Amino acid sequence: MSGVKPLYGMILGFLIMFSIMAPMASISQKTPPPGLPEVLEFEMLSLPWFPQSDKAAEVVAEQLSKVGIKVKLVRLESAVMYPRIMRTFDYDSFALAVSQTPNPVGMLLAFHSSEARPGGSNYWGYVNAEVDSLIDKALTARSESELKEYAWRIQEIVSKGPFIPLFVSQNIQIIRAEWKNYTLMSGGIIEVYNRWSLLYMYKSDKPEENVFRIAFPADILSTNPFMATDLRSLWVINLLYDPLVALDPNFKVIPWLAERWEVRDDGKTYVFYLRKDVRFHDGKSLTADDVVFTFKVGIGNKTARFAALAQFVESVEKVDDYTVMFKLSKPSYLFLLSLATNLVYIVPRHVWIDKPIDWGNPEPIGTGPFKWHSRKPGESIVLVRNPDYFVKGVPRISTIVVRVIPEAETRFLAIKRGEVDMERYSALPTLVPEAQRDPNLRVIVTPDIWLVYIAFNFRRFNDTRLFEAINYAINREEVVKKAVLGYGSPVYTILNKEWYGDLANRNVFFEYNPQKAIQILESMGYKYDAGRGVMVYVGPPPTTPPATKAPTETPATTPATQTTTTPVRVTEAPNVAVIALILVIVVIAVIALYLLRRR
Amino acid sequence: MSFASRVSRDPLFQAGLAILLLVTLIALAWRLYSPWTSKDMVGAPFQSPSIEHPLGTDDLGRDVMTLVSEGVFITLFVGLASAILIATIGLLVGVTAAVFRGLVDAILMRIVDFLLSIPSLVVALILVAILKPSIFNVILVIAIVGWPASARLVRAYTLSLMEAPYVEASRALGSSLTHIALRHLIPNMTPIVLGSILVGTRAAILLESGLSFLGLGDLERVSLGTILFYARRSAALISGAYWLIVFPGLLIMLIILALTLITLAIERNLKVKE
Amino acid sequence: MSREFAYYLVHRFFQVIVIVILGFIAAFVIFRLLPGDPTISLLDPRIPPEAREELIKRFGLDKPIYEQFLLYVANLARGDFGYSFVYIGTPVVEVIFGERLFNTVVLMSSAMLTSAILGTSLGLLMGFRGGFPDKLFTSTLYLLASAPVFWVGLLIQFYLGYRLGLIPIAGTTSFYFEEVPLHILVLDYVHHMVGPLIVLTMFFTPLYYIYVRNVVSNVRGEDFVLTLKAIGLSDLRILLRISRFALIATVTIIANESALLVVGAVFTETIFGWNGVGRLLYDSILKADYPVLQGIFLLTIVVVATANFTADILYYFLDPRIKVRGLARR
Repeated sequence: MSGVKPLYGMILGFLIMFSIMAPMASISQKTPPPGLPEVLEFEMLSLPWFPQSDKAAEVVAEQLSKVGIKVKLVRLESAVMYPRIMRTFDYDSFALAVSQTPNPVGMLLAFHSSEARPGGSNYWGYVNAEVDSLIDKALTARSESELKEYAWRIQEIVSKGPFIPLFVSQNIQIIRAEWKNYTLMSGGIIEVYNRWSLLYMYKSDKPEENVFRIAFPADILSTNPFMATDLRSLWVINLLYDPLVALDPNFKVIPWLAERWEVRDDGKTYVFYLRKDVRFHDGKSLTADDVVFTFKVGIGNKTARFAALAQFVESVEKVDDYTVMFKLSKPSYLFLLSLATNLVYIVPRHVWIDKPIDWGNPEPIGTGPFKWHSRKPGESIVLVRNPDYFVKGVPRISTIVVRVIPEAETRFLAIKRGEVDMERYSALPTLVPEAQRDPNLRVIVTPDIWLVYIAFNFRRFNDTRLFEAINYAINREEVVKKAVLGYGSPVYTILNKEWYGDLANRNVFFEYNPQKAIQILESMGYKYDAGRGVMVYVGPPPTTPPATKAPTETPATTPATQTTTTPVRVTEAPNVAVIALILVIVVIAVIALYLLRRR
Repeated sequence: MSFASRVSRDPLFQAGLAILLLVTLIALAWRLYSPWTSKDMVGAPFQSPSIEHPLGTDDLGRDVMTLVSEGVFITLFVGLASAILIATIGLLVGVTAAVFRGLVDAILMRIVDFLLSIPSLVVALILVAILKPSIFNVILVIAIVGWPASARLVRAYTLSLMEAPYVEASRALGSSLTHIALRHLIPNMTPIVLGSILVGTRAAILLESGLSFLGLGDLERVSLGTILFYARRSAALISGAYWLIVFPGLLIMLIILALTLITLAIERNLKVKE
Repeated sequence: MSREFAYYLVHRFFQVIVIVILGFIAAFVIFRLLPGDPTISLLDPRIPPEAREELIKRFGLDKPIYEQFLLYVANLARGDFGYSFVYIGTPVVEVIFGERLFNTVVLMSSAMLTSAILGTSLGLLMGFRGGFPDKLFTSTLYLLASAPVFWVGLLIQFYLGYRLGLIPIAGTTSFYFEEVPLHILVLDYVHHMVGPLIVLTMFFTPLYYIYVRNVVSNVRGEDFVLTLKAIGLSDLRILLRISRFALIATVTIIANESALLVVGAVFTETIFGWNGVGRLLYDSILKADYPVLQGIFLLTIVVVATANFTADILYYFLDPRIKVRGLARR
């Protein structure tokens, strides 16, 4: 019958394609010891919505391919990716960014074996008994110098682990030029640790003109000071509520709702004396009852941001109406810092006393510099100046309008057009030249909160030589240049100097050295398979004993490594197959039409 | 004149095929000529079009011409593959409805009617969100939302075939419906199946580009929509890198236009009774 | 109203009910039974396991599947669509209805109305007139119909909004806390709607135009039109006669696209930051907010069924040829 032949042709075409797609022969490969892969081929999960880490992952993948390590990026939405990383541990490796705080506790604990559980912060599953005990000691260090000693030692060990930091990005804020008097801190001018900018910023001497409009990429998720975990919600909560102690622009702890404190019992007791002139937005005074209530509820319900405090605090008691006493289970230099950096806000007891912990809090009442005005879900939030704020004369901004604008490009256009004054997070580096050309805009660059890293699953791969090789194979300068157009600084250890100052161990460093990476991998028993474009395990290195090998074979290994480095670029097999497949289909379709036409 | 010769002489069909061939040939030529793959970062980011890079470079310094030439193939592949799937389902359902008529037909066509009026993008978005994006899931999802249109077309065509003298003769001789379907109907379906594939390809490519643009397609494969997604992510238009937005978009438009023309030619030569 | 019509109405109504029930079952199947664990994305993965268990229990996700289905039916019967996974503590109904639905309905109905009027009248005119203008318009609109809507949206936002500064970049309003007279508020809202409206009109108009034009140019050659001409009726009167067919075509398209009225335009709303259901759909997908997705899906089904039912009634009055037989569609 007419038209049957082309269909046969199509089937034939498919068969040919499948035979092409059949795997090619490769060099003889052996089973490696547990904890090492047969082939240096890794899936790397990445979030397409976070360009910094996603582009970094792409650059790293290209760099690693030059030493015969194949990285296949798998881009997933956060709702799919986070559970795989944090709960089911179903991954080879991933690229992400971790937000930095002025407090090293979070970063250090992420390498403690007790956190290598579902829901813990040690996503990579790193386990090392020595590191565990060092972290325990660091947490109870009594002085900064003692803490530094442990922190440096931890960094030395951990830098050989599955967590491979790449860079700290820079926060690029594009703000309308008429705004004055903001405070520069690490994290940018309006990050939650920076309480100063929004108190003192203004653009006009007429109060009613000081309307500050800010664009958020998405709506806030919660106004509940106990439950909120995302930095958008916390930004709003931070303006509505106050902490007990705050941070000055150099990240030193200063009094805030507590006007002073005393340390007693060799560091086991802290007594906070509250300010007496603080009122909630509903007019009621702040007393010790509110503080005790807040901490009891927060710690008692194991909420995320109180959990870090819970490990220090044994009890919170009211001494009198304006005095609160904290009893610590373990005295620590880090307690006060944690109190300031964990974003714990004092809520009014009279409002929350009969509410569940996850109450929606539709019209928040706090002590903060701004009062809640209104909200249109998905669109906007309006806050107005609190005229009775206990810091006299501030804030100078009369109204804050938070607008939700989902697209980065649109946010920038809105700033350029003057529809908003700035945006919540860092602007895209690609926008900087355009912003600099505009006299109505200022570009403010500070270290950002994001540490971009890649991490491997230590539960699957636990030979640290592998990670060492990867460290040498990554050119961090190039990653910074390509992923964030140079707006970042390379980082080699888990604590960086932008946020932790002297706690960052400057001795930990990996120079870019792909040859060295290849040498390490070959000493582990891997060999480059030119056919597949990847290193495969072929068993322990050459039959010659290692002792004699080192001096004699040095010249011999060099050409060997050279041959392995040159042919690294091999077109990905499935790509070719797909394209060939299309060609076949197109050709067959054309032939089919041609045949039909003849009849 | 047979259907095929009528279609192939239709100027609309010829124009459409010419555009399609031109696009694929240029893309193929570039792939053979260019030393790069879509993963190579070959130059500085955001270089404007030049002789070396006819369409400039993207935010990671990859050659856009290389990306686009690969994207054209991936886009066409997804389009064709899902269209083939669509045509297969459509053929089965359409023939079943037309041959058995009666209640089966009524039920199937009511479902088809209903599915046709649900916005396909919404269903596709929801399904992709649940199934997780990979190139095969995207193809599957496009097929799931695309088959009703094809089924309707096939049914109408089959109904007109059923009235052909030899089919009526066969029925008069007492052949079973299955026999008629297998013996007389399916073999004569080639034109409608080809037509249905091309019509489906158009819809599939639009849907695939849309999903990829939103970042919900297979982001590992460089399709034209994916290029637009990454371009948008790096704010290409405002950064002055118009070539990252304009050219892939134009190419989608060209491909869709070509397929529209071919679809038109097929539709007006099929003379299906509605 | 004849008995025949009453029978037709009841018949159709039962069909609609069956379809809606099937749709609701489909929603349950899609959201509970397909691969992919709906609980996996439930809230922040960093929350302690005990707290997760608590939440899963509260959402009824720990029960056997048939019990979940009964719960689902019971809840739907009470109008309870569940609670959002993302906006913790907010009912789905509250998330979808209200502001978002209002914005979407306003935008989509104006876009569909504009393009229906534009497309139908142009199609009627060109289909009737034929010749060069017809060719020109038809090919232009085919070209327009080939442009992906998100791409057009980007370009329009960039050139009209940014380069020329004619329309606002994003959002639905410029007033968030100021006290402004209502007419200014409305004007401002309409001003914000211009960009999305242009994009959507460019997307919808070809649909109406092409369909109506084809119908009209087919009818033009039919015997009764030729007869009318022979009788000596003026072109205008013939056009009026023919417009009935054009109207049927328009109603068909409106019925087919009606679901967009509530679901909105995902691309356009996202690009222009229009706070509507389309953008909510996209956001909910990114955040895996399954209850909201399910709510939007159910809403779509109800609207589609209602629109089809309404269209059927309209056909009955518009086209005397179509009686109980069924309907002619694309």
